[in-house]
Amino acid sequence: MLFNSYIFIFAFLPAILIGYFGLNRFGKDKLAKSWLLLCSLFFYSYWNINYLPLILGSIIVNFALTNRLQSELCQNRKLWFFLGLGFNLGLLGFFKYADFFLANVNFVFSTDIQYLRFLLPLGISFFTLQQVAYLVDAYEGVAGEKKFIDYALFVSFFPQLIAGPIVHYSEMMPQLASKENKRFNSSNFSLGLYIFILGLFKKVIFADTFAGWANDGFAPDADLHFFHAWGASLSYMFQLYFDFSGYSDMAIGLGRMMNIQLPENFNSPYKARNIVEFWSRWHITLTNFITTYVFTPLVRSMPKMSFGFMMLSSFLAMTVAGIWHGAGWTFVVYGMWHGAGIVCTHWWKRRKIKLPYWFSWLITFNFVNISFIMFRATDLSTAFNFYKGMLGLNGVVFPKGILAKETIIEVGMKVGHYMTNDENLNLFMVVLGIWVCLKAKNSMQLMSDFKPSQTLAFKTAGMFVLCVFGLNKLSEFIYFNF
Amino acid sequence: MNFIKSFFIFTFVLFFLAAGLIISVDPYEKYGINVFGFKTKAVMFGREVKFHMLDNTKERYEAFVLGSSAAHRYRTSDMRELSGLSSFNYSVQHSTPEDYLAIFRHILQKQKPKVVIIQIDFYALNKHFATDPRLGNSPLKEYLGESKNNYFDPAISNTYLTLNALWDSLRVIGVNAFGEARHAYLEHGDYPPEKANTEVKISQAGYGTYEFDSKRIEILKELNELAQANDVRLVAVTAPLAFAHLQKIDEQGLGKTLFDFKNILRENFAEVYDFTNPGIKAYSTSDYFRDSAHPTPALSKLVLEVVFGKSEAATSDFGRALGGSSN
Repeated sequence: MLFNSYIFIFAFLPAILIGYFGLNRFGKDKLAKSWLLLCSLFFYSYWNINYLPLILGSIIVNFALTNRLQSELCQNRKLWFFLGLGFNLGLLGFFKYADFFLANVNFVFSTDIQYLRFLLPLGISFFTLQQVAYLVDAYEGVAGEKKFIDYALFVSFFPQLIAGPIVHYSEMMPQLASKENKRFNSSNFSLGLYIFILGLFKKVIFADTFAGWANDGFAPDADLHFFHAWGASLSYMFQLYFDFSGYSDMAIGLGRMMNIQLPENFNSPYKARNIVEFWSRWHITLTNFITTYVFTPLVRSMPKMSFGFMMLSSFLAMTVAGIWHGAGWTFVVYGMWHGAGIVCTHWWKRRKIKLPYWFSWLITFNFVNISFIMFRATDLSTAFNFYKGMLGLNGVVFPKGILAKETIIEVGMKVGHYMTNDENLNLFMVVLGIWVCLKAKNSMQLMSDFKPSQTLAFKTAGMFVLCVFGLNKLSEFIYFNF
Repeated sequence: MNFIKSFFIFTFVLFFLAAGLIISVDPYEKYGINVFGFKTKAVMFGREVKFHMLDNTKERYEAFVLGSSAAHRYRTSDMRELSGLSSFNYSVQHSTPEDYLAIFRHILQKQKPKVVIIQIDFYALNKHFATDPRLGNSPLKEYLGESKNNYFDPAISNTYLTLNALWDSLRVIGVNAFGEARHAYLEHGDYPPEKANTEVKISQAGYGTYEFDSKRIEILKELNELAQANDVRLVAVTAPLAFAHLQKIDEQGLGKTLFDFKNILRENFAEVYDFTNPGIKAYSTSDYFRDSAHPTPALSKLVLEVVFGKSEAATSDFGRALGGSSN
């Protein structure tokens, strides 16, 4: 089920809220949790019920394994830990990477092994990651859950189940257990509603608009001359940001409506002036996971603690992050690209190289923009063709709309032309996107500045009405593919 | 609590204001309302606009042309001149056989056609080319029979409760207040005159994975049966593609698929003319194509000349009859 759908907003969400707070009000907190769990599983199954046993199986096995790990009778904790790790990575590998592996085997050994062609289970990368983190924490003795319903809810809590934010056990469980959080809280609900609608607005109005130009640019028959390629790449850059940060805002807003504070996931990433800063602002919960559970163990496993080994660990950790996003060489290159960016940033800092503020921002912005082409392209040759276009090797054709010096008013008034097909409007939206990303307050700042008022209620209602009108288009979130 | 109450009240008010604006502007002429007396309405929304044009007309049309945007430039004046029949252009953007069926049924319900020309695009039988969702949002969906829900969002889906409708309403207001008003479709479903273009750009030549859609092929059969039952001369023509476009199809390894596509048409229609062969080379200039997949009125007229047996300019390959089925 999509957050940006009629059924979610007008049926599922009211039902879950009324059920949850209603049951808690009558002291039926176990029933309330069960209701939340059931609804979360329904939310997941709505997409494809065939994968319900998969997530349930994953939850049951992980719960059993971590309980075994924590048992005083457990003789060989390391064995159980690696068994759990193997189970999770095996599950992810089987469903997500098997065909990629087979394709490479077929290519290298000239074999013709049939592909498995599994449909990627929704959210598998996220719920697996969350459970791996829990498993590691349980192994290190800093997490432990004895109640199955609580554990299942921690994994499957619907706001963050499909695409994060990736939640740590210690962040989530105390909030669910708190008695105060079981009562309807109008302040939290107001804030949650506001943030949810802000995210919905980002998705429906911004991301889906940019998607038109981005998809056009990445279409197989796209005529990628210089301006078209840049227009499409920038459009994708903004589509990805508004889509994913919009989703995160919606998840955070939904959590807040139920008095659960989910961690922030974005903090104006396009303001970053180097790649290290970018990753501290972009998909923050993934960065934290990679740092804690990939980078740190890698550093520890190195022969010595030196700058070179630290950088090697960073590079490898980012490559893992790239592969986590998807099964394909484009994702491997994407990860390595960012790994190299991080190494360069540290090297420059070590050398005390300082660049003017605007120049370091420009380099970082374009570094990210160029990397997202690899992220979006279906294969390496498509990505390279895109780069050719950006370099002007496919020709330079000045957009005819701009040549005609049409004003925005004229562009907007053309009857018979859909908004998404106009080069001038693309330019206008890219400029607007840059302004929003650099100058406007981000969701987290808006959250901390939130002061309920009639004016804000009016603005929120206005955004919501626009979104409601935009919900007729079924539009999935980009990160549902990962 | 005040914020929540205010939010719901404002939402309610704003929603009805926006909906009221759209309905009073009636951008797609769905209800025939013209509260503000606008000269121009309409956007490229053929399934909506042309449906209501035909629904509300008192004219008796005898010839129709169906197809996608590639068929937009068939002029009904040319059709009338060549066939002697009053004509209506019922082509709609991105059409596939589901559209042809719904439109054909609509025509049969409202008019007594003698000739129906269906211009079928190569993409239209590809399983991976989705049915245009605008069909599911238009009144034509009612003519899809039991399958209508396949194209219809089961939740609320109404043409006027959309962002496009809101945006188009504002644009309609803007055009009438500040801009140069013009109709997206003229009388008889004709397309407005355009400035001449100077080059034939390759357009819509990426077909991706191509697999024939058996359901759509079944629809072609159904169309033929409908025509026979109602004594209508049904003529299928392949949508003309510029020569460079045909080369692009070959480069994608789809040459054999294009051949099979034509065979499917031959097997399902009594009368088929082909405009996707090397005979098109002589016409692959900007006089005849807006872009590689959209013929100009001049080429559209040549196609009509072939269909109505008045062709003089055509080469032997151009508009070759494919010897249709006898059923």
